Amino acid sequence: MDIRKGVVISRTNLIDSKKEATLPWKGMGLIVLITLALWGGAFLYRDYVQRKTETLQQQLTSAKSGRDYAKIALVADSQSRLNSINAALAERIDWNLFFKKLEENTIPEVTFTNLEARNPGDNNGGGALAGTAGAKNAEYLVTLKGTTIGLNNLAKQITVFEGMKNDKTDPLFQNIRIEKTDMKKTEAGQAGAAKALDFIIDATINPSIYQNNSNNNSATNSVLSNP
Amino acid sequence: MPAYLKISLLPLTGVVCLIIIWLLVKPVYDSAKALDGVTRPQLESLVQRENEMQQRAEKLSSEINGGEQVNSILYAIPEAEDAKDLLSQFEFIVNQEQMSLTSLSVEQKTNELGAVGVVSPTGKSFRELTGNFEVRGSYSQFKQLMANLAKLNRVVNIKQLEVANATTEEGATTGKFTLTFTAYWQPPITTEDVRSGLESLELGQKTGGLTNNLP
Repeated sequence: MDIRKGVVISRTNLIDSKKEATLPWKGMGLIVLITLALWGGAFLYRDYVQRKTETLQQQLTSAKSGRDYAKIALVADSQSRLNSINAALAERIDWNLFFKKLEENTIPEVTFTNLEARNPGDNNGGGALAGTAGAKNAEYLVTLKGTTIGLNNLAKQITVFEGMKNDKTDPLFQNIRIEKTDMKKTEAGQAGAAKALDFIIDATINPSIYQNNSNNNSATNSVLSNP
Repeated sequence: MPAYLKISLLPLTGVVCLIIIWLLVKPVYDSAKALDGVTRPQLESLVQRENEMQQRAEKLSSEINGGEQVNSILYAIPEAEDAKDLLSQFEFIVNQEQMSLTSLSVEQKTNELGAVGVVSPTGKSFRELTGNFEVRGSYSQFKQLMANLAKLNRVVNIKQLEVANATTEEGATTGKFTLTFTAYWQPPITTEDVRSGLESLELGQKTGGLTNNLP
């Protein structure tokens, strides 16, 4: 800014060459005015915002006073319980599906006499396969005791199970191992005949294959499916 | 007044005014801007959230109350252990299948995190009630029993099972089925829990997941 712009040079004094200037009232006034306007504007702005904030604060207080805690508790409790139901059902095993598959894949020459299924990570721990590679805590360990005639039938049964194991879409067992075999003695005169064989098979099943399949008919599922 | 003073008066006024603006106007403007830029939007959002929460609570509670849902949910995971009720349900379905119940017991697990570690509102979580029972009967009866167990109103998971041969008192061969089960229960969220949870939320404190379940 040209600061000389506001100065009025006096041309009446012809004797004294010294130039006299009047005070730049206009410029100064303008600056002061702008400052005051800014000051006032800031205060007005603050007042406006404060009023607005107070109104919002009142709205919030009034909204809060209208809370129905009983209803909120009911909804929160129901939602929480539904989450818990979901979580519990997610780890449910469809044992009927398991038995169905076991029946379908048991050859007629084999009879199972005992079955034990447990999740070592759940509580008891241990188990025949607990220490073996591939037996994870998430997997159920299954011990099957059975009887058949001759080693061939046992081999056939294992092959059937192995075949299922390789079926990536629908496997029954994941890890099959013959734990024990016990060939029964044949009586005299029966030499050459195939001998009765007791056996124990250990296997693992992946629970995820049998989870969330059995809930279609459960009453709780009807709750979950409702919006 | 000397001319140089008169000449410098204008810029001097400008400088003084700038100082005044800096010292007096700017703090007022800054505080107003903070109110407008931070506090006001926060309040607007809180008002909006509050209204939405209340509308949703109203809508959901009327939906829940309207049907049988509350009862179904409470049957599935009740507010208390209800072990007696559970045992009578087991007994009922065992009798329904004409099997014989040879033993039945329950124990409450002490862990509060639930089987899958799900933490529910206010830090409360669903709890487990485990137990086992032994029944005798045929394999087909057992399969039907398992199907009925899956249909129970209460969520019951069979965690372990054993199937073996046994002989009856009359000497006949029958099946012996031992099942280890887990049922669940969960303490209720009370009005007081919600009130304190919301207050904590308003104080900016974390409330152990309560807010996740608020409507």
